[in-house]
Amino acid sequence: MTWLNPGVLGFLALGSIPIIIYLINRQRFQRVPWAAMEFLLRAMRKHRRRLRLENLLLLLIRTAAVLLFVLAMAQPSLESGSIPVIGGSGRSDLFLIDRSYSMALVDTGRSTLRIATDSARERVKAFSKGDRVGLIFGGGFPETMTPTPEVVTEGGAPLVLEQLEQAEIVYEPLEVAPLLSVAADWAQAGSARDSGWNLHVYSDLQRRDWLTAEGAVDPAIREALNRLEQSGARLSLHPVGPTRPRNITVTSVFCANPLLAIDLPTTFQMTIENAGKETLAGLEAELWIDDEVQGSRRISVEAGGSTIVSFPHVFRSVGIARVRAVVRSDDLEVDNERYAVFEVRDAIEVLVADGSYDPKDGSSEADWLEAALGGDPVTTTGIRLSPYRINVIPTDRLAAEPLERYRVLVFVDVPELSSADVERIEGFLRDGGGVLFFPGERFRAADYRLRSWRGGDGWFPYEPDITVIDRERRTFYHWQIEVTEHPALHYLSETPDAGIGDVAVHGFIRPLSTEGSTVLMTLDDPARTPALLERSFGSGSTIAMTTGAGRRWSNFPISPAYVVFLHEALPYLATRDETSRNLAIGEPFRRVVPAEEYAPRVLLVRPTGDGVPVVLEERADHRSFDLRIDGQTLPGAYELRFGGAAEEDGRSDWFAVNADPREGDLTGIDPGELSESYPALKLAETRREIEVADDYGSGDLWIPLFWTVLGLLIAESALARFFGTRRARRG
Amino acid sequence: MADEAARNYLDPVELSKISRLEIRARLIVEGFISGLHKSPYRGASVEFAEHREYVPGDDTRHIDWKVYGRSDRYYIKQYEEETNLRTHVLLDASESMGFGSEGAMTKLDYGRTLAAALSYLILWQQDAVGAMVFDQDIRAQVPISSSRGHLVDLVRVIAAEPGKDATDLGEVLARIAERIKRKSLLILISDLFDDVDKVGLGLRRLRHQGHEVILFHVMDSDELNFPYQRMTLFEGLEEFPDLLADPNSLREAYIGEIEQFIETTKRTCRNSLIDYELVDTSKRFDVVLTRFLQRRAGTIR
Repeated sequence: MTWLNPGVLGFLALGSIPIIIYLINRQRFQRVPWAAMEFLLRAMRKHRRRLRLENLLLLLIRTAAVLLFVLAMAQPSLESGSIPVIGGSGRSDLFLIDRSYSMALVDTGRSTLRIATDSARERVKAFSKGDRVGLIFGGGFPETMTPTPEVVTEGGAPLVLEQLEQAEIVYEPLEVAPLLSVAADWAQAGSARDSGWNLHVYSDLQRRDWLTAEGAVDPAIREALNRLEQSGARLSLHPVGPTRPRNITVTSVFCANPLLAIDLPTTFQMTIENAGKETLAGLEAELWIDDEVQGSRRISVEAGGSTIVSFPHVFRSVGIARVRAVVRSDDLEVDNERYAVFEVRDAIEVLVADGSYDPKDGSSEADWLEAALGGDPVTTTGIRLSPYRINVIPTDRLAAEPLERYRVLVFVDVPELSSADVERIEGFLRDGGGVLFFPGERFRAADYRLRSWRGGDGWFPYEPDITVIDRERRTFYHWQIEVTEHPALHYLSETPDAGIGDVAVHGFIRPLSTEGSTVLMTLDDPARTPALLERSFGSGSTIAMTTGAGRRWSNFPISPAYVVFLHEALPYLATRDETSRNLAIGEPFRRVVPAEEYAPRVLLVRPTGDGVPVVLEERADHRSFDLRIDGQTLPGAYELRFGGAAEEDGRSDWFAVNADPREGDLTGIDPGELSESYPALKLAETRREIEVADDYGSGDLWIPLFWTVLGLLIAESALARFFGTRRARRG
Repeated sequence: MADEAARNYLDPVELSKISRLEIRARLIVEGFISGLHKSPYRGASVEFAEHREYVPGDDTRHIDWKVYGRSDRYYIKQYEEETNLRTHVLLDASESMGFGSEGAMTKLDYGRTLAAALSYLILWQQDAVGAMVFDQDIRAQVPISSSRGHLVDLVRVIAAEPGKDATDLGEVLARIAERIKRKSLLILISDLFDDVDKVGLGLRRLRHQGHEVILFHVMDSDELNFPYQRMTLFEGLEEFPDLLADPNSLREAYIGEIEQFIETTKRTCRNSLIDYELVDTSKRFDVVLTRFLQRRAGTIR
């Protein structure tokens, strides 16, 4: 029970007024000499019992009417089964406010968060001297605003009131379990009075906050609720905001090409979801690149469905491209936009070292590989069909080739590598390069064991042993993907039609050891011989097959899976060392800045336009610097401006930060379902608060109290008239 | 105009402004008579009633000579005054009769005035009237007489100071019955606040001795209607205790008791052929006098 005007309760003493009036009336009487006393005494004797009962009944009704009127004026509202506390004799209330960005929804002129904080403020203002108040903000990791309970003084609870007033949206989902867990810790540390803590949760009660993606019970929430139950706390849910809001969310903006290069046609796809209950039509979807609108579409999205909108685009210049996908739709603006940053290169340089190189043959394994990667030059229309620029060389020219030019090295049937080659390859890998390796007929296992494997210290992913090959092609094995989530294999594992499982392998190198490497694929032979392995080396990585790329080893080169595998593996190897420029809220940005890109002044410019200096720290190799930026809390595109010693040279880098799109699903959960899912969730009260004016509505006691008072007054009048005048009417 | 002024004195409130009882009686009767222009009782007692043959000793002034001229026989005119009506006015002057609501006559004052007026009227009709005033006992009496000057004696007795004793009506009626030997018309003016059974016994005794009895049951309007609203301390008379009560809550029960009392008294009178008249002290006197004349006419017939 809470009282909005607890001071009024002091007027409960007015309940004695009817009794006092009764007693005064008995003292203030008129005197009448009475002759017919015999009849009066007889009447009194006969009806004394009834008269007493009538007087007592009227007195009780009058007293009850006064008391209930005072109680109603104090505006009580029922919130728990606790004993009503009057006059600040020990309330202990902890407010948990959901600040997740779904609370930014503006439906009635104010955001849902503002409705929640205004309501909480009104409640806190009603507390009395001696009460204790606490405040924890939810959304992301819970933020305890009052390390210890604030004791309400004659001046109220200024700290909690101010923090409620200044509450701002955080662009992270509400994590219910941590919030309840922190609240349980806080409540235990805060040692509530005998009545225990009253917890008030103000939230829009998104279904996804309380149940898993599969709609199941969240064990962590259950555990936290059990702890709260054991502490004796009473939980009141205050659902805020509209019950059935419409909301459109841009859940992703995606580039069809994993590697962007100039003149390469690409397609940006934005996914738009409608978690509401009604189909939304006539929405305008826009794609912006570098602050210029590139396309606009009119779309409609079915209730509970999603729509993908594609925008083709060709980049004509090298650099960082900032992409912004926008849907102009509803009142929750933060999820109507999504940002992305992509690096557009001149081309992806790939060096192919071919052990059986023959520039005139055209049917070598390298030729197959070059054709699969589509390393065509720019067409006459100014369009290119592949981001790759492929350079095929014989093995003996490897020593003369500047490897730092390339993002990926591909070895095909290279029989052996000199120690100098191995040293250069390992240097390439340390700097973040990627290597794709196919053995072949000329493969010399002893050489690779000696120089490249080196007992597990080299760059090569496995210790090669003998070659097992059935030249008659009567015995073959199939591949089985062991790491389905690996970027190079994920699409193949998800797309059986690509045929990776249909490849017939007749020959392979049997690895003696794979220590320190990851087996990505195996053969379905009894030994489950590794077929594809990955080994990290420095910042780079090597993906090596145990089967050659020629037709004598398998039918892989003529399988659709061959092309798919190359187009999945090469982007992975080419960008593996690159820092992601597309981050989630709170995710830090890390980048290694080469010495040649060093700038004495680096400025981080936030989406709001304000700048923060960033310090570069020299790395141990003395050839590069670490650029570290802590996780950001605001969605948008962030610019890193690299300034020279004298003046800014205009060089910029960018990264994008986005909120979790799942927060855009405003589908609420029914409190009844909540209680069913979490038996420990003993709700003292559940009340939806949309407007403050509606704040003290259905759950409040003072309105029925007023009606009761009115009823009592009517009953009193009727009874008094009935008791006092029925004989007069007869007379 | 003079008649109208006279009739105003039939209102007890107006009449209470005049203190002398004999003047009150005269004003009432004159006001009453002035309203009887068409009354069959006008001068009834002194008008001719019938003839009878003359016998020696009769007053020769009453011989009807016109009849003698026609029949050569002596006939005496016989008048109604010769019915020789004897009336006793019995006035209860106990303490309970001293009650009167605010602005109204007390029951005793009303009873005195009524008694005087009736006496005046009876004497004016040349009948004989006497009076007795009693509470627990007969406090004063005046013998019966038809002399016009007798009114002074009547009023003196009727206006005597009331007693402070309670009524013992049953006992005192028995004593009255013993004192009045000849059959008479007894006009009893009382609030009858005594034991109902004893009162009934006394009344039946009067009737048993052949008296005609007219009972004017005098009640104050407050006693009948119990109009009090505020908390009231009712101070008991005639040795009854005081009672503090909320009149609103008692009204129903009290009025029930009073109604039952009146109904019982009426039944007793009806059974004993006693003419009963409830007199509200707020009522005009002509109502009461009319009732008396009706009763007297019935007695003559």
